[in-house]
Amino acid sequence: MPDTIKRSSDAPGSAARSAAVEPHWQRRSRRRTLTDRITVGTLALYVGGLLGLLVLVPTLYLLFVPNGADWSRLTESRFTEASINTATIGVASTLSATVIGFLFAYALSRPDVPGRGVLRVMALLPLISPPFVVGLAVLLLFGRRGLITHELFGQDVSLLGVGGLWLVQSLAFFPLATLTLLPTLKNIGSTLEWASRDLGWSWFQTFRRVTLPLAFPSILNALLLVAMFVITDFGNPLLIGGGYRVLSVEAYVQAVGRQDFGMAAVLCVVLFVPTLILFWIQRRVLRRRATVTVSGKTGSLPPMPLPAVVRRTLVTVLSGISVLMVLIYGSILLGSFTRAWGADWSLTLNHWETALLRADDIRNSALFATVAAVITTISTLVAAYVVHRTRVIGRSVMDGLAVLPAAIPGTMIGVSWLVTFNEPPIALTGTALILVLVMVVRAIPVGYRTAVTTINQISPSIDEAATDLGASRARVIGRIMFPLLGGAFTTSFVFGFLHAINTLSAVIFLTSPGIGLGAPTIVNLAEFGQWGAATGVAAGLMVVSFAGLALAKLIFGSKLRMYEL
Amino acid sequence: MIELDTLNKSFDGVQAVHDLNLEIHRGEFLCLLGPSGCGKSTTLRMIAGFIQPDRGRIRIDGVDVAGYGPDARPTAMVFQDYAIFPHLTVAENIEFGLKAQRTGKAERAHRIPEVLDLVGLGGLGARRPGELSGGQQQRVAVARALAIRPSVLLMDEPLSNLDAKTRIQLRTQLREIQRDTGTTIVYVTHDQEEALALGDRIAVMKDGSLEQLGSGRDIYQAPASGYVADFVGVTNWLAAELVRASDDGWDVAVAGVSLRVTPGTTASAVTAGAAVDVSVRPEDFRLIPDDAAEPAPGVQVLSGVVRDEQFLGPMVRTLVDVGDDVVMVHSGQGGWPAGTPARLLFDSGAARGYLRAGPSARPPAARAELAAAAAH
Repeated sequence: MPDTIKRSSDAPGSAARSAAVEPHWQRRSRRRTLTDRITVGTLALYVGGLLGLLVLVPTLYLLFVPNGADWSRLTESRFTEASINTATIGVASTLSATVIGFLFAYALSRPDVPGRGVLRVMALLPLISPPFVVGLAVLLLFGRRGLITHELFGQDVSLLGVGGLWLVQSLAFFPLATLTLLPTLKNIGSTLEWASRDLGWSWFQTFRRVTLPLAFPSILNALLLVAMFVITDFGNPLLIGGGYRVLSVEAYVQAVGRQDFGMAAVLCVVLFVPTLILFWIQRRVLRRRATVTVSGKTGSLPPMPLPAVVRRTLVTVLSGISVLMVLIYGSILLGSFTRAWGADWSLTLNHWETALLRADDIRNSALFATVAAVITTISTLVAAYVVHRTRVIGRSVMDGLAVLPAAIPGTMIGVSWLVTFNEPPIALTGTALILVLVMVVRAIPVGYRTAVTTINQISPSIDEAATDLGASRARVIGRIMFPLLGGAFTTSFVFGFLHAINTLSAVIFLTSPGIGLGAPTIVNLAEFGQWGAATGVAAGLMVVSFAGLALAKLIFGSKLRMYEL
Repeated sequence: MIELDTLNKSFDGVQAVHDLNLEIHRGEFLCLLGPSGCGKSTTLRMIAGFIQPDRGRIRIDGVDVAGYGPDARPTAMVFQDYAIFPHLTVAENIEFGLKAQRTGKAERAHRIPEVLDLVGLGGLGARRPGELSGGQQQRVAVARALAIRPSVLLMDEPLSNLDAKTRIQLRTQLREIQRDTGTTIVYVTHDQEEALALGDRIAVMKDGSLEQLGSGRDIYQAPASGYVADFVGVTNWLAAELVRASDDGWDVAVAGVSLRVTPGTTASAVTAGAAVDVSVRPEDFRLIPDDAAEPAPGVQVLSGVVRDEQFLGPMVRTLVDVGDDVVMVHSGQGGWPAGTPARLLFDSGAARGYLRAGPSARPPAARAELAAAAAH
């Protein structure tokens, strides 16, 4: 070996000799290039195949399900009404959820607001439990036999319908806005606000002229994000929409109730168009915002204190909302111990027994979500590596497919999978695999985003250094990338798990009598008025979610970077 | 025109400003100088009204400002990180404060270009802050503050985020603006060179209190304490022992050599045998060959061996071993080969003795400087 090296670095006179005997390092380099190509090729094939099969194929397939007649039926009043309803409640809930989300984020960004720990919990609850739990709870509290409307005030009114839906969606989705707005509000920095005060403006004027304009891009971003979740929301409109039909529910009725897949597909596409547009705008806004950095770091200046009036008002409003949130999650817990909600208020453990009898569903949820989270985490990390660290052809397509599921309504995923994987060549209906895979699709965008963020934080010079020292691609990935991605791995896993276990709209189409899941079971039980059992399963599912999160927090501590409120 | 009267402020039990008394004159450029944590920024923020003093009074133009918020005080702040509003143009940034003062539209249209010209940014009013360099952004901040014609301009390390060249450029400009407008400026900095270049007077702060107040020349040439001598400028420290104190000065022994130095403090009674630190600025030494003729009487002499020489551009730094110490000598020429025995001459007026307060032989900053120089 030393002999070879010596010869290759010999004086020019030995050039003829080394041409005949190829230097060792040159041969090794050729072999390395080949194995590297195989490594990268395999990974790219895996990512491309997975995203193609799970995202691209069902989406395209769905477009060919409806025929011309299905499309022309769109003008029927039933469907135009559903479209208008979706738009109306979409705008209303988006605005209110974003306003509430802003108030929470603003309060959390201000150290002189008391009780921020409580507010943090309130904003966290809807993020880690299924959104439709809020709907279920409002039904218990303000429904026809509701604890508050009926028992407390003896009224026979109910919040069923558009009003209740508005309330529920505002409460279920405001944390998304809080999560989006909080980093910006924290970053605007006290210096700019102090500068405004120093130049002569009052607190209110400073808020109007500095804080709000600077937060505007984030507010827009939050609006778009919340809008996507609100208009594709399925569980809440199903539970408390009453006669107020929206597109997602209508598609469900067409597909499952009437077995009219053509019409269901049409409605899904109608819902997909606005979400796709919102999604596209949001990506644009995000990109532009990345270039406009807010100057004026926080520095060491203390944050500007709120005027007492503002602080009191803010605390009062947020306390009101918090009380409502406590009632909501409390009623789920209470409901699970109540013999017959609305009729017999005696306490019982029956529902928990039922929930345990129905433990199959919860266990399936937990098990499938875990498997799905593992698949998602590994796949998205590989995808992020392929897209951002190789020069494979089609990287941008893979990138697009990895984020696209965030824009696809869950209902649409459910319907498209139902029609695509129902018959050969890929018949998966009725298997556990299809449930796991659909959970994977739901969790891919958030996992991918985490992976990309982390992989971009690892300087390319690190893997360049490893390559320079003679490591192969496979070795760089195994020895450098994976260890460095440890934090992202756990975060992505927990995100994936929560997304998977809480998903309803996609899986409700795909569960079969043999293999149930927690989320659809809750909705089915609630639809038949079996409050006790529904709340029992809901409470059980939430316990699993919280336990999972707590366990992850316990094991990984501060390495787990998620929901940083 | 600004009076600080026994100001006190503590954060979480840590005293940031302690019994600070200071009077700032109209039209004066006053520098608050000190290391981080000495309370200089806290003082400035109390004047601006961002934080409230625990005790003591602040009077501006004779008015106690305790009850007034930052928006009501006749002060304008220039921040270290510029704090230019990123969503407004340069002109809108300047207009921001004018609008708050309800300045008329015609007056605004007049004043904006005026202050922009003043800071040398004429014609850039339509620019966005993102399109400006750091130096330009800080000029906008100065213009924005000047536009509202404050009684006092408060500046919190305004140049420390800029590169060295821009910093010196802006420094010169600031002095000129101050001279032209006659604005009173309170300027916080930890950079002693900046303070010397800018301040009509410098207030050196230590641990929340005023250590010395005076012109740059006073503070550099006659530091009131070892702390000031060490913090302002570069100095050599020689460990010494007091032999005799008289009206003419102190006789001290440095490495067995008897020297005459000027007492740095008019402090309490001193006793023979007390430990003393002697400070001599590097430029106050003269280096002569060991075999040169005897210097004139009255000139103080130390012997040493040249250790190394560094060419620094405008001057040469010669490091000389004197006993266990390493001494820096600044001169125009240098040209001393390492290992040459040499003698160091200085006037007793240039050497200042300070009674050693703690057990440490000399203030740590100087030792670090020497260690760094020696390691060089």
